[in-house]
Amino acid sequence: MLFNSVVFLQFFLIVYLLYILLQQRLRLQNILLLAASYIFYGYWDWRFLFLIAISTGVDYTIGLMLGRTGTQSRQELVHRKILLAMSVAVNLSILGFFKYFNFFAEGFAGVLELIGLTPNFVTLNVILPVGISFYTFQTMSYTIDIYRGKLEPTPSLLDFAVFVAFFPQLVAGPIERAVNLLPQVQQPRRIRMGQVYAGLYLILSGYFKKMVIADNAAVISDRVFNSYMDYSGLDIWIGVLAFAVQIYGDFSGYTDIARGAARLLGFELMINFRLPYFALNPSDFWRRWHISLSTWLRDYLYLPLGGNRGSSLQTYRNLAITMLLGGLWHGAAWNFVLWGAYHGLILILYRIFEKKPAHLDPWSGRHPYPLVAIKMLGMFTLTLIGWLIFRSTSLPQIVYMLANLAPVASPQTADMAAELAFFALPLLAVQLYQYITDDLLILTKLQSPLRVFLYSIGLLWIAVFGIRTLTEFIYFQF
Amino acid sequence: MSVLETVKSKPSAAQDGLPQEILPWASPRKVLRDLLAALLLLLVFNIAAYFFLGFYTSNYGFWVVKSKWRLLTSLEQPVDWLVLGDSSANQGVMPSILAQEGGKSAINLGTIGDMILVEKVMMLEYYLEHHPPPEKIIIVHVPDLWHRGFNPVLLSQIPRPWGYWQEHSITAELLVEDWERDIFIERYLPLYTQNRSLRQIIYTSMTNLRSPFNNGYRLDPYGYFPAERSAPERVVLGAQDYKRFAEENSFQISHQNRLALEYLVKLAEENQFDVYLVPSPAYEGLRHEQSFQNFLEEMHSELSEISTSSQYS
Repeated sequence: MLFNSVVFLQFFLIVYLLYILLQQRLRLQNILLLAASYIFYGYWDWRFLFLIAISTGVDYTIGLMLGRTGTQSRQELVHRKILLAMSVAVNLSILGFFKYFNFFAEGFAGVLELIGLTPNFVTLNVILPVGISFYTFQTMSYTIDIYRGKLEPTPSLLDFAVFVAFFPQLVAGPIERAVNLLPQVQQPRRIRMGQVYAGLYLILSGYFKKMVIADNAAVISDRVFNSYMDYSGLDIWIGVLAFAVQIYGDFSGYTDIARGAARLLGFELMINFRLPYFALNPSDFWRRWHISLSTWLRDYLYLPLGGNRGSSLQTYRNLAITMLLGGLWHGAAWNFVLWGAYHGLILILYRIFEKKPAHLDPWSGRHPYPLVAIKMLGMFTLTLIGWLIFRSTSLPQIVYMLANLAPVASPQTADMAAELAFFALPLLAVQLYQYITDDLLILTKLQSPLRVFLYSIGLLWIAVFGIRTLTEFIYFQF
Repeated sequence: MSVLETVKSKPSAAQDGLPQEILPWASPRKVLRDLLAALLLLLVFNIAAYFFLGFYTSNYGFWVVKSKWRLLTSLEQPVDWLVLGDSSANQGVMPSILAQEGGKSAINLGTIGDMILVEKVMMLEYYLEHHPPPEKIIIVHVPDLWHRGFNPVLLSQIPRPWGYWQEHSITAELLVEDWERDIFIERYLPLYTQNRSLRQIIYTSMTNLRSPFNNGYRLDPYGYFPAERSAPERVVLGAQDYKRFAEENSFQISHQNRLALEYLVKLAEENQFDVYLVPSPAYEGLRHEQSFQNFLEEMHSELSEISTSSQYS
């Protein structure tokens, strides 16, 4: 069930009305949320429900067992490790099979062919369950946090199942931590009006970003990436820029709708984007882009690998591994691996050349304004190169496009630029205002007539410029 | 004056240079007021779009239908020859030449093919209600139009008061239950139904700085729509389509067109005028195609059968 479908709007309205009717009855509300979440997910393919149920059952049971196992004796510690390994193994096996089986089978066959062997591997027609990477990571963090003693296991299977399957964020995040979401499931929720107002605003913002900005930018980027040889250097830049706008609008739009819908239900989900294209350096970019994934990778991969506690070389190795796996998380394709490697590389180079962290408040007076602007532009250009790799479908395409980025115009350049500017400039204007005021909800604090006028212009633009054909959110495939 | 509302709690400073989400103050009244006000303003935009598109739509077909019906409803004097039909009539028959050559007054009310013969009957009924019968009616259609069914939603584009179709017996007969709802949505919710026209108008106005009040379409005073430039490549493509159509189909008259023909015969007999059914001019290359010739012969034969049933038609 896609957020940008009429079915979802009807579904959410019904669920919300029932939810309000069940106020003060926490258990019934949670049953409703679980049923709604399973309907939401099963709407794609009912068979996916088995996977989510297995993931839920395994981590719930292991969580309870971990909770009952002490930390005093060596035997208990070994037992805890085995339990954790079981949880990680089950989750990664599900993820690995459904997402990476064919990728690795084909890769392995390729290697064997290189050394003269003729492999006879079977590639399976495996359907990728939507959002599998998101909820797998979410449930894994639960058992890891219990193992680390940061979290008590929940005795309620219902509460845990709601935590895993909570429909607003089930298929494309934010990847919530149990420490944040589980207590909200367990305790009675009080819906405050500020939350409702901000929720409605986020939903409007999300639909605007997805239907007006991302889907229209996609028309330009698809054109360029699908027949890149027909375009000049400037056209390719515009195509890549369009993809940068598309992927941000698409993913942050989804997150906005998810967080907005959750707020209407009285939940607070974590912020997933903090104006990523305003980042000053690679490190800053990852504090602003897909924050729930980057912090997950930091806490459950980078730090356990040693983080930056060892030598410089060890830190670079840890960064490289984390970013490579982060790239692979996005999908079973080499372009994602390359994209991860690329970000790993620029993070390492940044650490080598930038001695002091410069991501602190850029307006504190430590940095002259022109330097801040130059840094932003530089980082944004690096981000664009990353998106070129991410969006390309083959290595020759990446090489060709990178080699043809010379600023050469074509007769269609001006029209393409105007088209992109038409859809991207409103986003830029709003974000600039958010950046200057340091408040992502600043539009909700404008004077009433101006605020309402902007909301209605947003609705008008969705009605007139919104792409009506149902397009999936990019991050569903991850 | 600040554009920001006075907030009850001061926003906290951003941490680590990253922007925060500071929840706005809100009461149930504020939520409801803003929601309703935004929706109300959207409704105002919708009404504005309705009136605007009535005259300046970028949809050529819709514009022609509206313009021709306005011409018909504002016609003060009767005419000798009434030209009806589809776009081939609209762009193919010059009433001024009929006046010059034959000394007869004429008006061209040709619209679009998808309105099929049903709309011509409606136009004729309207004309006859307000004027004495003309001497001759010329109906110019492309040959494949006789196959087409009628899309009732197109009635929404005719600029007459709501429910006008009930005044016409043909539409009353063709009307089915959910027509009116569809016509209402198509007509009165242009933000939803005519978003492509609006999109084009807003986009070109903002990126090319072109006036939204100039869609570039102009009729002459007698309803003729002059083509501003020739497009021979489109003629050739169109001819290929017709050739294929004639090869794949034998001549047929759709249920709605047949019904309209029956009404036409009845009107001709009641008001004693002649009706000329004229196939639109065809590309020379197409004329020589055997399949197309066969198709025209079938058409001629079937329509002649109907015309001989009346002394006037």
